Amino acid sequence: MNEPGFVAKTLLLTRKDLRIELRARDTLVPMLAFSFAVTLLLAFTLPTTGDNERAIAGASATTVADVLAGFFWVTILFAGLIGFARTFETEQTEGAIDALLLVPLDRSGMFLAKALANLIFILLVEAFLLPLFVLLFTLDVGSGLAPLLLVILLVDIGFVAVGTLFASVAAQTSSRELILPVLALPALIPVFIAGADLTSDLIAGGTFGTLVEAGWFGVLIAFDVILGITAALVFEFVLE
Amino acid sequence: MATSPTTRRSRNLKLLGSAAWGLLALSLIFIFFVAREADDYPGGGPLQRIFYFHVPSAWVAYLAFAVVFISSIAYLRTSERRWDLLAHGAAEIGVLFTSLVLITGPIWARPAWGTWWQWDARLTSTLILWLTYLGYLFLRSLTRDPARSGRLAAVVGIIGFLDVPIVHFSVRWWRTLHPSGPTPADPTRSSGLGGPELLAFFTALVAFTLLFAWLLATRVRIGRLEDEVDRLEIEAERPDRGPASGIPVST
Amino acid sequence: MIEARGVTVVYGRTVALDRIDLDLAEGVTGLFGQNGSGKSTLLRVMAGLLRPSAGTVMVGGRALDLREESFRRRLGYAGHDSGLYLHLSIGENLELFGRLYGCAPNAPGTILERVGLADRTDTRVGELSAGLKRRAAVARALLHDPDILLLDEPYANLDDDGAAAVTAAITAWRAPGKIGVVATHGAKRVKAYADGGVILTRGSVTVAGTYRPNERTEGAGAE
Repeated sequence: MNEPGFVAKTLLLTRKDLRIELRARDTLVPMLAFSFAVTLLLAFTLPTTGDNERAIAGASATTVADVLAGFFWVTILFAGLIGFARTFETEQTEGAIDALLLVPLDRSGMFLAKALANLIFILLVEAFLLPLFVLLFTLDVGSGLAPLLLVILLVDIGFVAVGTLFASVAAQTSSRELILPVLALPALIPVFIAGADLTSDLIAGGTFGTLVEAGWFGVLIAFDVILGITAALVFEFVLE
Repeated sequence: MATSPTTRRSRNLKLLGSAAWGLLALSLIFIFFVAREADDYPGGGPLQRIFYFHVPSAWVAYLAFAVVFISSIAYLRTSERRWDLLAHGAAEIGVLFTSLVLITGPIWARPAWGTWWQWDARLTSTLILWLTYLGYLFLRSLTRDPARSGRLAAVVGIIGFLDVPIVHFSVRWWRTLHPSGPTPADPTRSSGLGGPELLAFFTALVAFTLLFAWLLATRVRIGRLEDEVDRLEIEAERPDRGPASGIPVST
Repeated sequence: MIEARGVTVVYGRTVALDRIDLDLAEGVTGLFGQNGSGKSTLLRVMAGLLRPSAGTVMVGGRALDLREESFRRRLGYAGHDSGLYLHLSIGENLELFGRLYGCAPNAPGTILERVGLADRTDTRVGELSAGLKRRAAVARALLHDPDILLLDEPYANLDDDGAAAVTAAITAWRAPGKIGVVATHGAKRVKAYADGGVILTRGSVTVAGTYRPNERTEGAGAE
């Protein structure tokens, strides 16, 4: 009779969410479909120079980097919100949330489990979207790949912390699809501005050194730490 | 003659209101008839007087959102209704004064900067603040159960306020146009504004703060009265079944 | 011992529970009443899932608060919904909750045997009929052998065999010191084994008493 600890129970819940997603396919698939459709739309609408050089006609390299980084993160932002809105769907359809609230696991564990599942979803979307961007817009990430992955992870942590918390708030109201973006978008602006700016630098040839020196990098870390911890702390008051 | 706490409270409220409005009238006199115009830079002249409204509005807005933050924490800790009423009222007033900031700012910026809006640190963070608390009020309007609405809103109130400094720092890396002192002429550094101007400014600041306190107290009072109406209506619909209810089951 | 004092729940302007005072000692109590009489709401309040607008619930002399783990471990609750994941099989559902409670690995098997679902272990909950889902929900509530068992309409949609299986599972769970509350609108099945009964009418307790004639019995109605 050895009872699993906090971490093991949390992972158990995340595994449960992933297993359900594997069978229901109603969260990740819409996120991917949305990202794909938006990216195609962007590829069609951007005035490109044609042939192999898919750079935007008449724009400097830094402008192209800015535009593409912005598009990348806006696509992630909305794809994420589409998926996160469904975070508590499986818990609510058959009242499993009540059963879960009575289990000997702290609410913060429940939050971490949900946030971890959302993190995996958004990472999968990015694993799909980043190569797609490289392919369609002939991005040259090259040496900037490792720092870029770090930026992506840091943005995701803040995004998922706030997104999961506000998804739990939205799930308690009558119109969760509507209220989630209304609450989450203003709060998420710093992470996404930071993400877009750092990504643009890296696309334009930045390195680890320039990344760490950028003021945005500090913003990203501050956001992740402050809002991540607060979100985990206040979550217990949302579910009651 | 003994006065009940209720009448004493409503008298204090009236007193606060008179003080706020009186001081506001006084500050108008100072602003328009005592303070001189700082007219030796763009945005000076008569236009500059807008700052006596703009800055106190911003101050009240931040004060209001700080009240939301503190009341939200207190509400989550205690579940006492009064904290929720305070948070709700402060959020409404905060949104109102943020709107005033966002209206008066561009009116000044258009002639001074030649543009209505700039994606500058203060402007952007103020706009985000406004959006955050509009969302807060929208959320409150969606849930009818007061306890639930209070809890959810408190969570948003806490996260929203913690976001403010981060937003502020994050937008500082844009080139900022916004004057950083309390006034374009910055009375603490240059001698552009002297005693009369400072008098007008601080009178306005105190008047706005009192106005905030009065509005908040009034809003909380209205909230209490609404609760009382709800309670009476429930009481009226409730079947009257005497004082005793239920008999303990024992086995 | 569960003690409810002045428990009132107000939804908007509807009073769902009106100043409920109730003492529940060990044994199984039937909670009877028509649909909308407040049975489900009372069970949710006693499970700590719903905070009453007024009044308190004490469990073992302390105010019920789900944030305390000791309360959570003692409670077993199956509400109006099954509390299960539709895309997981019965076995996977019970295994998940079993591990979260730290139950013995064979606990899910034993309890499924008891409610007569042993041959359905691998069926997904979403494919179950309403009756089988009910039994699975009861199994989940009983899984960790709770001190306090709160069941909301466990007999809904059940045929006689299913009902007998649920009754068998509840009576097997019953032990000295354990408190059970079974809410149902048809009293017959619960009366057969309950120690006491409470009737709710429009949010108020109208009758409360015990079925054991040799013990202290209280009549119905007003004090």
